[in-house]
Amino acid sequence: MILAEIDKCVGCRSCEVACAEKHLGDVDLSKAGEEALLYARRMHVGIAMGGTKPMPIQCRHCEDPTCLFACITGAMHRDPNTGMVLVDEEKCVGCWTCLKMCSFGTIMVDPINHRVLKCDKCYMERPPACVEACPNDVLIVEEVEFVDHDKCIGCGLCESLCLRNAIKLVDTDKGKKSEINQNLCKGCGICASSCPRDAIKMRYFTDEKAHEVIKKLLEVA
Amino acid sequence: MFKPKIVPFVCDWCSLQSADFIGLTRLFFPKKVSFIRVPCSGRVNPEIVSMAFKEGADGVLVMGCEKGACNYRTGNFQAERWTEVYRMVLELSGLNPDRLYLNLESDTEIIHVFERFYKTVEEIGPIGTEIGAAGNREKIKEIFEIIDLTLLDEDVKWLVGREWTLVTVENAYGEIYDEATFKRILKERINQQFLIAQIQYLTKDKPMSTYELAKALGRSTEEIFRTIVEMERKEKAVLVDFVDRTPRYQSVR
Repeated sequence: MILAEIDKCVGCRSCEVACAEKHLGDVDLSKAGEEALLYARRMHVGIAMGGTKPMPIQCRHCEDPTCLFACITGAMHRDPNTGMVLVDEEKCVGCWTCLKMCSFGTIMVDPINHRVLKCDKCYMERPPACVEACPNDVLIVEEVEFVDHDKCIGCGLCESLCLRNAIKLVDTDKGKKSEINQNLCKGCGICASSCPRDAIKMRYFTDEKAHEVIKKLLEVA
Repeated sequence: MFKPKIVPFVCDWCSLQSADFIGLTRLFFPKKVSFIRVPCSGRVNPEIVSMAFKEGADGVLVMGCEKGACNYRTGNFQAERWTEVYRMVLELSGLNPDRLYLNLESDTEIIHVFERFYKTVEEIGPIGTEIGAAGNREKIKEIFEIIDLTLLDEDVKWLVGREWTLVTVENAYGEIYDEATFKRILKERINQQFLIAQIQYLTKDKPMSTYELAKALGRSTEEIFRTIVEMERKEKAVLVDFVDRTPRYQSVR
């Protein structure tokens, strides 16, 4: 999940440039000119409604995406492997229905090729270009739950418990290890609570945090 | 007058929302209630429940969504399994299993559920009353450390988590257990693990012989010896020394 701490954002738009650069491929952005920036970027820095500060705006990859249901040609689809909402640029006819339906204004227009563009998280590359380019650490990659591969024995219990299919067993050098797909994970903590080896940890609701809260509650009671 | 200390865990999606709703509609909200928010009732595992009891709680209440309404699909079923197992072990250690209650019904009556549970715990009394150790913090801590050793064991955790796969899909050999068989296996395993945990706790600092252990735990020497052999096989206990030709064992951390 890409998070943005908008208090730190100064609106330098480095993320936009980095995004365009990444998706242009071999073309040099400095030679291609300002127009290239417009038709290649997949996120933008803008001022949210009612606010005064600039903030980076990019696709949330919603669980219940309105753009996907609005699409008339089936270009907008959910990638089964990564759980991301992507657009098939061949199928897109440029009707802009998804543009109207998106609640966050994250879908970009490519006026030259007449199609829509949206964030693809740099094809699950870690970290994505915008995160790497941000000078103020506004954009960060957040993992809600993560696996300690030294402790994991690859028993596959978490895989069977997660009905969101967010956990998959993958082959690594040290044998089979489980890996969490951050796009599909919703942070319920069922895997963390039942891991036999305590290999899965939660970022926010940790055991230490729970201990702290219980202590405070019993002091009051 | 005894006032029970209760730690209620509420799931973020149904229970917390209904608690919020009570405040919004300005209904009666007793002062003694304060909730702990958890992402899902399935997150409340034995470790967290034990934590609450060790800190001096008299009862733990877990509230989740109705069956089939879990936002994460199976979280409340996982919570149900854990609670069932935890209640089993509470009974084994001599405490009243009603000190832990999981509510998966009618979330709109969240305060009634709390009041009912409050009354139950009030009747049972402060923690440790059942075994005559009320107010004895050391003894209570010991009990819950043994419970932790029982339930946080790798095998038990695996068995509990695998329940639905073993009962509905199949195991590695293509067999499917019916629910009664699985419950019997789980109960046997937990009884055995509870004895192992007791031995582990008693021998964690000093080595003890089979006879001493049998006397301390009130079991037959044969049963203890069989358990120790099992522990040795799993590398949980080792033979330390001999006193008058009697072998003494110590648990391995």
